[in-house]
Amino acid sequence: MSTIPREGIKASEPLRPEPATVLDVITETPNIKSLRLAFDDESLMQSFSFLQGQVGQLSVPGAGEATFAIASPPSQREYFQFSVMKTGVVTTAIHELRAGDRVAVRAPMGNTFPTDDWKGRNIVVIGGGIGMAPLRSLFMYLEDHRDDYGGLQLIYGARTPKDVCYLDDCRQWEAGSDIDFVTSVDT
Amino acid sequence: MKFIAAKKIPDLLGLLARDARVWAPLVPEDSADTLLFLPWEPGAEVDLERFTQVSPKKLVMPGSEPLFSFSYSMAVDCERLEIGDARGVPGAGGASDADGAGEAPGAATVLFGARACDARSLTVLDALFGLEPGEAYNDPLYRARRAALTVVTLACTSCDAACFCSSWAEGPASTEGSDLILYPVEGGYLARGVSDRGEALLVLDIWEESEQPLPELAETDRVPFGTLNTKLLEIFSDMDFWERATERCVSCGYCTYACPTCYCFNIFDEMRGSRDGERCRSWDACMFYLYTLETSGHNPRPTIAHRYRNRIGHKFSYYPENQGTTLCTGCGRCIRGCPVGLDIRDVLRGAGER
Amino acid sequence: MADLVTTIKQTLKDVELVLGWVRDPATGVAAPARFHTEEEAEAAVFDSTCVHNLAVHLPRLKGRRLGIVAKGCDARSVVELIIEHEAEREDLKVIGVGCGSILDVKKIWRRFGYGVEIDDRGDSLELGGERGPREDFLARKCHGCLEADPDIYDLFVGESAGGPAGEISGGREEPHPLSAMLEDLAPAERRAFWREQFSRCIRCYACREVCPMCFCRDICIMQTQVPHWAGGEVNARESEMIQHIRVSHLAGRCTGCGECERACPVGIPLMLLMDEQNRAIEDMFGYRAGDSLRARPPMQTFSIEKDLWGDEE
Repeated sequence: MSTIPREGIKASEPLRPEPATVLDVITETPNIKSLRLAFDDESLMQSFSFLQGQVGQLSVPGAGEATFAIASPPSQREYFQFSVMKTGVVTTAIHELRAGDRVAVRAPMGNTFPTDDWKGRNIVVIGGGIGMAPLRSLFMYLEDHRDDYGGLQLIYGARTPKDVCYLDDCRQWEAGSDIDFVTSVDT
Repeated sequence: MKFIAAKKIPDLLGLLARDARVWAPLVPEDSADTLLFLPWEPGAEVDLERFTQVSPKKLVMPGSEPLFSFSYSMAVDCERLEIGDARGVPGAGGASDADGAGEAPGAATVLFGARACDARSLTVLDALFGLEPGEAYNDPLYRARRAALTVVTLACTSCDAACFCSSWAEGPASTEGSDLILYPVEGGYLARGVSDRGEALLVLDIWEESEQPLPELAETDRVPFGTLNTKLLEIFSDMDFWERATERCVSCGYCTYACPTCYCFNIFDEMRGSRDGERCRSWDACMFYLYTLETSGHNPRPTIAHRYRNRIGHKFSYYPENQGTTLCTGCGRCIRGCPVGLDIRDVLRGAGER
Repeated sequence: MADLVTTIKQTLKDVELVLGWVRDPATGVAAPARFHTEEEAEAAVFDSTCVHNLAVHLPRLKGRRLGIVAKGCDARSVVELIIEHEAEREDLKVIGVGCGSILDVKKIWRRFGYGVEIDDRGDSLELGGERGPREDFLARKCHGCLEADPDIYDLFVGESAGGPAGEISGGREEPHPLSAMLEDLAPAERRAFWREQFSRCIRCYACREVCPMCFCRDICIMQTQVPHWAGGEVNARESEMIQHIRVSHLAGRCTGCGECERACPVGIPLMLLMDEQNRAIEDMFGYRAGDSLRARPPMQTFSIEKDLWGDEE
């Protein structure tokens, strides 16, 4: 566990989050938004690293804190992204955020995918709906390390066409010549 | 061996209270049949005979505590958010101020008159909450309170029908978690230091020497744990058993809140006005429906049987598996105080025979 | 209790299960139980340690055909639950028991130790060898007993008391022991008294969970995050607040069974609040919760048409 980064969590105060700013809000579907964030502390942001599939705790102080997968790849150093479906108290507060608003984050936490063990093999990533969030981070990591792996296939489904997340990414994956992208909807 | 006469106990408490907040078994005003660990003040009469209704765990894990404060303000061009420390927003009537246990983590505290089961429960909690920074989990608030706590244990020469600490190897003779142990003997108490901190207390100018032998300690009921930990996994899906075992349960949180080892908590934000607030941590209990209710409306533990099964499984199967120790020390509070007479030992024995 | 056992067995021919009491072998006192079969019913008992109000289980078992063994005070809760549609009269077989007053087992245990042998001689009490006056250890609700015999029952077991339990009752006129003390206090002192009492509260919600009329339970606003009407912290301020919410929600519904105070592990005199309110409701509306199936609870009865248009249909 010690090799997993925890820069955004103070060893002495792991329960206390770090202030961060909303850089951008992307409306993915009628009930899913993606937030691009950066820690206010610039040196922390510079040293901040995580592994594909790790999670973070996003706070809207006053509403509460909840766990979300980091949806951006480790190579993205300008910001980190959470994709959030509106369901309860915290997620409703998150959906009300706009660029410039302040939040607080404890990250990274949790585990990663054993991507080192996959080297040289064909990889199929299968996800659905908002469950795509950590897989977006993973798949983008795999693309960043394209040479280490064999065939890359992404199978992504959603309940209806309206519920498909990451449309811009999907278009790029579809256009990509060296990846196999399959998408499907239930209705 | 060091000895103190019973009538000099208030003097001892007075000495301890010079450098620390002392918590001892006291009868609250207007409630003669209640005994609780409460802050001792000169003149208060400690009860070293009966058992307390609620464990002293609040000294390391308060009923509520602020984790940090936060404050929104408007700057010229944008909204600002400040994340403060754990002591609350000044003047905002911070968490736990009326509770007494909400003292700053790290303030010197003496727990006086804990029983061996209570003292040992601290080491059981240490297995999870006492880890150092860098280990898997790290709870600085718990560690600060724990490090500042001195435990003066009262050895049990008698017990009641709810006690079952003899189910574990050392039973009432366990010294785990104690700094100093007082043994009731004729006319007073023999004292034995367990830790350096306890030995240091024996230097106080209040002890006499005594030739009295250590008293015989109580022998309580025993629950045969045996292979209960695996048995509980085997009967996990035996809902008939769990439903019958919990028929009289009304799903209150007394057993968990009185328990010296139950540690579940909830974290939530409380606003103090419209711009300031605190993130708080409070006790929570797996016996509550809301404890596992998910945002979607699904509840994986919808019935009392599901919830009680978790309580038993956590204490006697999962925690031993993960932390190497039973999440129970046999203090018997959950039995003594259960409003409907549910005896955890009956359920454990019933599970063993299933 | 051959009579009780026979009656429960008879009832079981008609219902799914019967709520009653068994004797806990470890302590010798009664504990609540459910009898599903005639064989299980053999263990049924009724004695002066049957302090629990079993009506608390009725809302949770709503929709099932049940039997319930009920003392006079418990039957008042059954009545109130039927009025509020949390139990259906036709689904219920009430086995009334003649009650000669009940012991405060918790008080006995806390004074003499858990599991101390209780020998109830009817006129006196022997506790672990010590003999004492029985009145000192009666459940407090018995001091305000309205009638020992249940108001509604399908079958009756034991001896009818023909009025309040034993000779000890002064009806509801008998105030809470702390009532006089509190009445002498100035408002600020009363407030300080309650702050002090609630500073002990651990928010275990035992008061709520043992209350037959607190059937919101899992969605109780004392605990919910949405709506966030009560703060989540464990402190005197919040505990006092949530108890006020509970008390006012029980206005005209509390039957005075005393379970909340009995269950409170830290000895908060909750019935002091309930008694005061019950008395106020009785003075204002002449209503006592649990008196009659035909009564309409004053705080839940209104007539818009009459008030607006001034004439009845």
